[in-house]
Amino acid sequence: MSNYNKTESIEDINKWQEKQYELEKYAVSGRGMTQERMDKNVKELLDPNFNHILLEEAKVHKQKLLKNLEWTEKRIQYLTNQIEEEANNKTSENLS
Amino acid sequence: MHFMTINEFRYVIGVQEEILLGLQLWQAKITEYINLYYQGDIENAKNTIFYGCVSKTRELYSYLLSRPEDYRSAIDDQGLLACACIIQPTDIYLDNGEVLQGLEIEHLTNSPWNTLLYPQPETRKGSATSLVEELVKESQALGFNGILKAVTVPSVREFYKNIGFVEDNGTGWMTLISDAAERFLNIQQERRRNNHE
Repeated sequence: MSNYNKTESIEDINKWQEKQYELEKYAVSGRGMTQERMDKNVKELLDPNFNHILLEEAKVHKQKLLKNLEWTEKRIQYLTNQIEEEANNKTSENLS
Repeated sequence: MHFMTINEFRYVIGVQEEILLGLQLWQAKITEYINLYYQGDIENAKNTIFYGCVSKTRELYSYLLSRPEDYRSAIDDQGLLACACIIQPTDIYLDNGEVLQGLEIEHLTNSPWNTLLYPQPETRKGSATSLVEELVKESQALGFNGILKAVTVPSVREFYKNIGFVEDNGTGWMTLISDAAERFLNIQQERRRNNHE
């Protein structure tokens, strides 16, 4: 029925919908995961200290962001210096 | 003969308060269902779709910080989070060497009550279908012609196939090409139009 065209009857569309609604309960998909990883996921979600696990993840994420920020600031400084140097060189060339 | 009623869902882009609250409710309901239907032991739910949903819910939590902008969700008429997924733009390589762009459904799960075999008062059928419909529209808006890609396990393939996805040679990857995407949107439009008449 995915080959829909205007001649499809109400009955056909209803059949399609009935089937699609029935298939909804299987709607779990995604990139492959080992059984171990799935078990770990399930165990963590059901852990009474799940919020502690999430808090630790948030702290790790923050550290990563801070590191990236530090690197970005260094990069900005480096490029600013380069641009200034280029401008100075041009000025010197023009003067000579 | 009349058309079957179509349930309506609201499409949410990104992570907002209602998504966080929705995931918390899923977590609470998961515990409730394990006690009710699996004798309080998640081991009894192993190899079920529900077990996959529990794992996928944890997976969604891990993307809250790193990729909030990649969240897409469907909210039902009760204001409940009914289905959620993580997406990303992707290249699709065809057998003829052509490369197309599309949206990849990286992780998707229906709500815990929608993955149980036992009907629940919260259940509003059609949430995952509605979410895929909105993803097709987003793919079109991005200039990807409605093309979607999903990696699937055998249990979910029929769900995607009925929408119009085609499997890539037993790899588990399934693609919805632009013509099939258009047909799917037409079906949804037709169902909705007749629902309102």
